[in-house]
Amino acid sequence: MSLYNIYGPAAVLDGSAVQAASEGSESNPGITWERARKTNIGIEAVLWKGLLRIEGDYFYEHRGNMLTSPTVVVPAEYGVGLSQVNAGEMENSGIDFNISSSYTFNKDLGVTLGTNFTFAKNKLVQVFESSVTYDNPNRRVTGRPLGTRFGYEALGYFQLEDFDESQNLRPGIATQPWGEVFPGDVRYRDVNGDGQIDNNDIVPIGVADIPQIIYGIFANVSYKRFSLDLLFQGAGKTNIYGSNGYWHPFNNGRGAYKSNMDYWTPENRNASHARITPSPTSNNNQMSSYLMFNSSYLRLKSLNLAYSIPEFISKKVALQNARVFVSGQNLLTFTPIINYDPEIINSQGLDYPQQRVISFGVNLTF
Amino acid sequence: MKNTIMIKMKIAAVLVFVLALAVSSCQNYLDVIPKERVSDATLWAETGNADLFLNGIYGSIRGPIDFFDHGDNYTDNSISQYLWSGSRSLYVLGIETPGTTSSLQQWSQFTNIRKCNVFISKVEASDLNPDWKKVRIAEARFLRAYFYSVLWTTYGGVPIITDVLDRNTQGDEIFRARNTDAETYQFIVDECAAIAADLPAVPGASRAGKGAALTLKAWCELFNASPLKNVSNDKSRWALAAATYKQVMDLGVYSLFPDRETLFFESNNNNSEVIFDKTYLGGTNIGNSRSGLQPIGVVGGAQQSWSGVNPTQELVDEYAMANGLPITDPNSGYDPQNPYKDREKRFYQDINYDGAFWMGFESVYWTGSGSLNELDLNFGSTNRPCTVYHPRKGIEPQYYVNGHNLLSSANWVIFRFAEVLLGYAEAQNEVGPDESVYDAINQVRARVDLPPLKAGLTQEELREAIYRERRVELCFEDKRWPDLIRLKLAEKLIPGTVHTMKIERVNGEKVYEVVPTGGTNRAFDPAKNYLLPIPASAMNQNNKLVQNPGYGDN
Repeated sequence: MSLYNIYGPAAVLDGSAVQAASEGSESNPGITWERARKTNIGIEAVLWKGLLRIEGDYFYEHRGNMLTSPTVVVPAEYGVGLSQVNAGEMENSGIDFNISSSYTFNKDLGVTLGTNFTFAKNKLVQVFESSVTYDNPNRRVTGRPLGTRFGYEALGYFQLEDFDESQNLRPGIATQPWGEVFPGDVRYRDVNGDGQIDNNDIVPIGVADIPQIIYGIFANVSYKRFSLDLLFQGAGKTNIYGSNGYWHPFNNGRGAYKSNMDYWTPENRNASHARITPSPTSNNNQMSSYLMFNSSYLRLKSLNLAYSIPEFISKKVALQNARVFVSGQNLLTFTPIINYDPEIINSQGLDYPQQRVISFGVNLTF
Repeated sequence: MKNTIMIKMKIAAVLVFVLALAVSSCQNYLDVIPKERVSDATLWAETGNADLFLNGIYGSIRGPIDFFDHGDNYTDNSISQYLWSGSRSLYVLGIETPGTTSSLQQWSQFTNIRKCNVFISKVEASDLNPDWKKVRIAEARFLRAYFYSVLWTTYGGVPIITDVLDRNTQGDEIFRARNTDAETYQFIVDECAAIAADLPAVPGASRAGKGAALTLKAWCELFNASPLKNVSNDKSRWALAAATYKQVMDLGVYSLFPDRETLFFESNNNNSEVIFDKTYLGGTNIGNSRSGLQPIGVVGGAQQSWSGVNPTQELVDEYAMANGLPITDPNSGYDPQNPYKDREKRFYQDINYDGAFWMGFESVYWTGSGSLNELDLNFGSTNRPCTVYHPRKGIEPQYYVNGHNLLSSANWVIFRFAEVLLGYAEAQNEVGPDESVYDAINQVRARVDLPPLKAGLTQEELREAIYRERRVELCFEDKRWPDLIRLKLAEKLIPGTVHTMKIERVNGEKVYEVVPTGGTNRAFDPAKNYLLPIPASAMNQNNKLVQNPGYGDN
């Protein structure tokens, strides 16, 4: 049964605004649930009277009947959208563990240490894919992780010696189709060696922006009336794709980063940025490894140092308990990415950043 | 405690209800039609309902290529000041490929073609009022022919699909190969000829009438008579176009609107000159933003427009003097050091220039003025224009509000009577210049107080005058690009350099100099660029499609 959507205003006919009807997507009466088959193998152990606690897990999930869009199975001339069908298949697998240790040396000193770690891998087993990408092993989406990015592999920059006296590229250097190139423009790899850069030179670039590795380290030390808590968190095997908004100075009325000073010049051949242009050029703005940034990080997420005031002092001022503390969040970050908060996955870097917070406090119980 | 019991009882009640639903769902009680949707049975049961579907097709007509990166930016009429715009960074460099496509692409017209096919097949199969059916089916066939004309002028031959594709019943038959260029052309003009009689001479506002069908037919005939398609310059093709344009003129329905300046304003929608248009409704999501996207950027210290269109010196030089002579004529009185004086009316209607008053402020473009609209030859380093001109045509002062503001109800005119007169003049001149050619072109000139063309021009001189008249009269109406294509002028006029005036002040006097402006590397490959590439996505999904020559396999 065809159903029509009613919407409006759609046009002004015979002098008045009118509503309209249009075909909805071609329906899929057989739609059903996704189906997940999960396997978990785990161990849990407490050894040496709590000195060592281990929880480990291996997980595997096969997800079938995933709703995916079959649009590529009809020609573009078909003229109406198709509803999603239960046809996608995906595998997730990985390990997950927690190790912690706690020991009280004496009544003054106790220490707890621990770490957690997750490594997860993901693979699209079956998706709808046009033959153009499927038949090209470099561009095939099937069999690769969800969110894999495809683009050109940047080889660095064109240098002065790549051009002859009349400013033409020397023979043997693949031509790039996005306007005239100059020394300092990004040069891409001619994967199939046909002398020109085009869609057939597209390869997977980097890893997805969902981290494959997530980990944390925590520690607690209490010594007499002092206690110290630390939490580190980190992620690995992850990239951010930073489109031109990330790297281009003064783009769209924005400011510039200090790092923009490191742009290509004949003397600065291996700069982190291409030659400087008034606005991003089409050539340097292609989806490519030039714009993929390693966003793994390790961050001191929180630190808390507290001191409990001795009872003989607090009792004098009619307090049951008194405690002073200093705590901080996001105090230290180690990451190769610049100008970005690695916890942000928005490619323009425009989300509100994580803040560094330091607070001092007093806890009084009457 | 009491509360807990109450809640438990409620949960039990809900459970019973859910179970009841689960049982009854076997009897399709849950298969309700969503309230915002209607079924086949309802939609095609009454003319008022079925009209809704046709309304949607009228609403899907594409307006301009783009109000911001305007269609004329893809030609020698104007240029975008933004380096990243599709016109500048792609099309005029001649580097559009199947994988990287510009706004000139039209393949998605097939979505509209399907809508027409659905409407036609459903209405034909219905028992609705036969008089209503006849007119509405003719309207839908006109719209389908129009969508095909856009595809044909852009790609050449395309698959002609007149049934509703259905993968469940047709299987692999949904993959259609391209028809030839000649077949596609013939389909369009045959459809127009077949429906013209069914369409009213005076249709409802913005509906297709007889005049629209004939004008579309004439336009395709003109395109087919032009050098791109008419390699042997077969005169009978020109005669065909001239005859059809003549039919439109003889309808007696259309006339030139007296005030060309306000012709495109919302207050003059559906005026006596308009033959076919795309409708807009200000203040809704189908509002028109032209006035916030094209004109001069900053007025009175505030940004009021995105300044997307910078007319070139090439266009400005085409405007005649008020005495009717082109500026190249030694007797024209044109003063290169006072270039904006005593020009024809249309120059002042269409172009904002240095010293012109706009919204009560003097427009300042001269170099060294420090104006926020100062010429920027360093192309794209600022948000300043790269020529000293902006469009004024169709710009409504009350909607001069920065950006995509959707405020105006001004319709986008697709065909108007001036184009009919100029098309007739062009075609008839190719058949053999006669008095009717002068009559037609002089009507267009008289409206803007230009004297008639000098009598006794040669065919060649007349052709040149017609081209100039057409370029000026129809600028910023998405006519320049198809004209450059059909006349095979694109290979001469798109590559090379476009120019602007550079104005400096020396000893308090303005000094004018024509200089090249940004946008080097302009290119046009006559071996392939007269047809656009079919987008890679369409090629990938239908292996029966053959790509246009020179664009590779995908």
